[in-house]
Amino acid sequence: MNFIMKNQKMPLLLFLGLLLNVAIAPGVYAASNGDLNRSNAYAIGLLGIVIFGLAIYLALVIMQPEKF
Amino acid sequence: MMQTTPKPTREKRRHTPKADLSNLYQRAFREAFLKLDPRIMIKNPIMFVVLVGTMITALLTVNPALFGSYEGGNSYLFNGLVTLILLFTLLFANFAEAVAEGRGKAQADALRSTKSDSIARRILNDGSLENVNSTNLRRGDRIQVIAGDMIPADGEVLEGVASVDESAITGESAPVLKEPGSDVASSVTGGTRIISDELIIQITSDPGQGFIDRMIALVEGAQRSKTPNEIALTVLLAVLTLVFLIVVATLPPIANYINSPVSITILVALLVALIPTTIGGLLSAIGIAGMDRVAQFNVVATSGRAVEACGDINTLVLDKTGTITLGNRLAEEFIPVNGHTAEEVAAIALAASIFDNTPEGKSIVRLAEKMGATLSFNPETAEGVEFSARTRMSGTDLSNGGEIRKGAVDAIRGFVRSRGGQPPNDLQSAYEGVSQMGGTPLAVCEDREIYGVIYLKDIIKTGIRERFDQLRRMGVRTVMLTGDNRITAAVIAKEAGVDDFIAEATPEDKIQVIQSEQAQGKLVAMTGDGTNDAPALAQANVGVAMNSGTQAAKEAANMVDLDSDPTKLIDLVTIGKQLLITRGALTTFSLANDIAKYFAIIPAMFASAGIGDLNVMGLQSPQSAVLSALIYNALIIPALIPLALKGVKFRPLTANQLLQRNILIYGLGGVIAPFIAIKVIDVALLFIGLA
Amino acid sequence: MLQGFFQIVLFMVILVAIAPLFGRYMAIVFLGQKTWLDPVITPIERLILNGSGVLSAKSMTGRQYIQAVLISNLMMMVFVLAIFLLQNRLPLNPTELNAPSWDLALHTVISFTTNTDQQHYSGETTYSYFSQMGGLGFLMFTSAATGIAVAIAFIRGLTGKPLGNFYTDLIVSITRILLPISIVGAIALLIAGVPETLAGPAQITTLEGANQTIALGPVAHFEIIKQLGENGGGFFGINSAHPFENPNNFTNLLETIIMLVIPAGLIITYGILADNPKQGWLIFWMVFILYAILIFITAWGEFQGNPLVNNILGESQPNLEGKEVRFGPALTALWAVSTTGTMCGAVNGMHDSLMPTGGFATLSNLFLQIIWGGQGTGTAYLFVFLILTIFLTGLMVGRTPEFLGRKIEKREIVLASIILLVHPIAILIPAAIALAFPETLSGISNPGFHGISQVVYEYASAAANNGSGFEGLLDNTLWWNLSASFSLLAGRYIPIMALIFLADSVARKQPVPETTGTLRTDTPLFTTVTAGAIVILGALTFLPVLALGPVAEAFNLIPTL
Repeated sequence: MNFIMKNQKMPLLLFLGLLLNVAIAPGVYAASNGDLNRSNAYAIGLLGIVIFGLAIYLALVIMQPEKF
Repeated sequence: MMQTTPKPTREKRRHTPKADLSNLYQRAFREAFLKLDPRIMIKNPIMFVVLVGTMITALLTVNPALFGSYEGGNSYLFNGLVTLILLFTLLFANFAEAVAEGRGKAQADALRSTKSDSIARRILNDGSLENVNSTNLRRGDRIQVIAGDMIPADGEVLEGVASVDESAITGESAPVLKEPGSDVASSVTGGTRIISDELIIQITSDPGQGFIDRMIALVEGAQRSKTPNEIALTVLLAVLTLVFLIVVATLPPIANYINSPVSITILVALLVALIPTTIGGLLSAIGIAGMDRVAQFNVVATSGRAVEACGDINTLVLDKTGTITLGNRLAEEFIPVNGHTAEEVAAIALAASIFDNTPEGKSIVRLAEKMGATLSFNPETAEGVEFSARTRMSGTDLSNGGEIRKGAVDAIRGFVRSRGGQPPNDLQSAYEGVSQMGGTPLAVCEDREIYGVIYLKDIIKTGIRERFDQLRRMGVRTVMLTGDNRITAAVIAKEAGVDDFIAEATPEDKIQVIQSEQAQGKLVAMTGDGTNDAPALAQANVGVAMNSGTQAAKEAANMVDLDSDPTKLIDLVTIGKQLLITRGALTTFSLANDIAKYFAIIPAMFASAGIGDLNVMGLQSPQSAVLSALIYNALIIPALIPLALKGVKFRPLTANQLLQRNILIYGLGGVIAPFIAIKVIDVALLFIGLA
Repeated sequence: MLQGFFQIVLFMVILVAIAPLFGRYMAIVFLGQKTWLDPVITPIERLILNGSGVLSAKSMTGRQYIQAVLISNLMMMVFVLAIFLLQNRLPLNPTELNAPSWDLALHTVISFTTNTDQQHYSGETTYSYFSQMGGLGFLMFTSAATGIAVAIAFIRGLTGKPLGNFYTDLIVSITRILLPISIVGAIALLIAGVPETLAGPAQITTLEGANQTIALGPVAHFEIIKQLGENGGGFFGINSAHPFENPNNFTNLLETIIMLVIPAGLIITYGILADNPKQGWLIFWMVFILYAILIFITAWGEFQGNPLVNNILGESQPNLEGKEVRFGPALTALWAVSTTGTMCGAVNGMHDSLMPTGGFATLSNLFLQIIWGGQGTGTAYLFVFLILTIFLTGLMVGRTPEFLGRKIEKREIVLASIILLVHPIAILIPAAIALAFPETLSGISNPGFHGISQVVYEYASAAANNGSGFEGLLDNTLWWNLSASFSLLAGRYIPIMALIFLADSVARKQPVPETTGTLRTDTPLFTTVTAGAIVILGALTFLPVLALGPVAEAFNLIPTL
């Protein structure tokens, strides 16, 4: 993954942060019907991003197994 | 710079570099922690997912309400326990790899110790000598070594005759004679020691490129690139991991819908239990251990790919002499011709061989003496005639001018004719008779009179027939190449049990055989030692050069056998197969385990959904069910480390029998074993009050 | 119950007797040999396709083949979408139906082009005769033929032959296989009482004196290709439960058999094309046994009946909810397993009303999609499982795995694995999203465990290109139309691309001679291992969902079990 992240680490982080703030966390918060507080929503949003990241990572492994 | 290498005692050097395995486990233990570095873990997809999961549960241990609150008390303890078990899963996997690497390193260190930096005497263009560090030697440099020196790098002898102690790498204690020009005796290996005289050597490898360096790199796993099958398996494992990631990640909305929300800790536990951690944790250890095993067999492989290819070999091309038969033929019988008696032949043969120190010559002497033959002259007064490739005979010149000769039947015929004699009529039938028995006929004569034929019997190595039978059962066809005539070759082939043979073979025939087999899609392995074997070694899919062979042969091959034992190819085939079997068996086992883990975790997860009847193992509580499954998942890794390192035993059965056997053990066993083990762990947890 | 048992056994005997005949016939067609239909069809083909050269076009590479599949399918979609959106200005619209909403039209087009025929509408009140015949009827032939062509190309590739030409195989599948059977079948249905008319609905005064409108239409020809091509999109909303689509036991038998003959026969076709009929038969029996087990599970559940109802009745009665009395529990169970197994998707009873065991069986069919499997693709998926099994078992005997003498290496595993990934992505992810917003998105009519089954079934049906519905779902919404379209497309074209690339890559390999060290794949042992691998891989992926859907429902329904 380093070969992707190296050049665009900052922009990517900024983008993900923005996404979390604007779309994911409010979405989770809205879907929860008030069972969760705001920080829970952010934590779950982050968790979602981590899982998505893992999925991308595994997809890379499938495409280029030699590198792992 | 004075670098003195302690003179090792004979005992120590009897066997191949004895690996120092003390502290192996302590070092591996330390390594296991160091390998937790995410930058290292990311190279192992499955364990990386476990690492991420561990981090999440660790956060949840600190703050159990991080992702919202769930029912169920003491989640600090539970989350902490899960984190701990996951951490151990990672450590066990790292430990497995570290042990495998550690053994490799120990092996490599032992090798390296034979090869410490030393001062070499480089010969400059003007002929003067210059002291240089051995690491500064380059391919093409010429150096001088004298008795007591360590030979600093692989090379080719240009001048001089000397004996070299190669025990450091071959384990063979008898010194080997090295001289220029000859096929086998002109190459020297770095790390060996010259014990008499002196040699001028041309270096044939750059530093770090010699055989020992390559072997070190391979067993250390430093340059280990994945083999093709390992890559394919990695893909499959990554796909399964991704499938399970999706399965687990999509569960919370579904579970929330029916109002039985699941805590993130349990979801992480489920994910880790499902992804094939067993094989994921052991995969690299299996590969490294495979290379290690090759090294233990005293074979230098240039790549793991070559070792794996051994398992796929369809055809084995073998030289007859030295491989199928003992290099030395033994005299079996004297066959008289032209009205002579066997006793007369024995006496002449004895006379012809008395100066012959080759094993064949000695065996003739032994047989003749057994038949009561005695010398009719004083050996002090006679003179031996050496064998030469031109005359193809040897013998004894007597003081009275008599010439006694033995040699190839054609050569003796010519000799007799040149002395005005006439070869007897029954010589041809004696010659054919011996050939038909698979033997080599040698004619003996005194002056113009041919007395008879010595039947030199090719001794087929004991046990070789069984090995070929094994190979046949594995689906490997053996082809024997020999310079013998057709009749002899056919007899030996039949006796040794090879599937095919090429008689009167030239080196070109070797390439032709290999190419024609490859054209049918077969993978071919061959052994060789001579310079003219090099093209064939390069052409073969697996070429094993003998260490006693020429530099050219070693360069062309992808493996070098330090013991120069051609039958070792059979062991390599086994190692190659073992590698694949171990991977396949552990993958199957890992997947089969998932069924039991599902039956442990799913009912626990959805206890509120009323599917408690799925808890077929009768586990105490949801908490103990999850913990038991995870503990099993962690413990199975160290439990299987010995198997991963030793490899699943390969039996020479047909593919179907092998499948039946392995599917029963690792497939069915993999389904049943975890049910029992998880239940046992559950009971144990109850006992210590964690249920 | 005994009668139901005999009905099922009789049906299976007929299936085993005639599927191989169809298999052999298809093999002859695709080997390009003479068939007894040639004298009739060749002149017609010549007449229609004169000079186009399509019948003797040259073999395609993998890339070309995929391009041909995608482009031709896209063109068909655009063409039929235009018909739908313009149907109020086109002829043959006696009930003067308006154009459907764009998302429904899009979903319908995608659903029929992918051979799924998932319907978020009732045919008689949504699409005109012209839309049904010219649009849907057309797609029913081409989508089925696309599946067969891909399967044949796949088999050819596996056996090391050139893939063939997509257009040739498409045409040949229609003219030599689908059309002849359809014509004979449609006439048989017509004789048995299925209507075929262009007249508008009949106005009837019932015995009570009320006025009733009875929908009619060109049903018979539509019905037969619906079954034969594993399409499943009914002319009427309630599909083959409708007395005009499936009036009696004879039509029911015919329609059940006809939906199985091609998927079952193709396995035998494979055996012949691969020159290894034994392997074909072994796989046939493997699938047959899995199929029989699922039928048993489903029929057993239906005959047990609903314990809640039985408690009220005070006696044990079979579950007849949502069933046509003329078929009864046995034939409905048989149909339900057959239609979900073959990716046909036609129904002769409501799957929503099956007992949880039936829900379990039908969902499992959709997840595995190889218990006969879809038109063509089912057989191909079987071989994907076979390849994955060969990979693992091949390693276990210590050789680089080989299938039909060709090595299975990284590229093959990547492509086969992609197919494994499609279902989790196209079923679980949208289902999770829909269930995360139950009020806004899901439209579930029965909350609880059954609701999970409804949602998962809808996506499974789309992703497996089955098309049957668990029903009870309010599915003609923008969300359902678009999200199901995603599953439809992903479930159809990603595997097809992977299959063709896989076949292409295998075909280019140098064959390896067989030795005693080679693992034979045509043995009962290997076939059993394959069955185990299929069940385990499928179970591992979908057990949690099954546990929360039908399994939880069953346990909660029968607390005493």
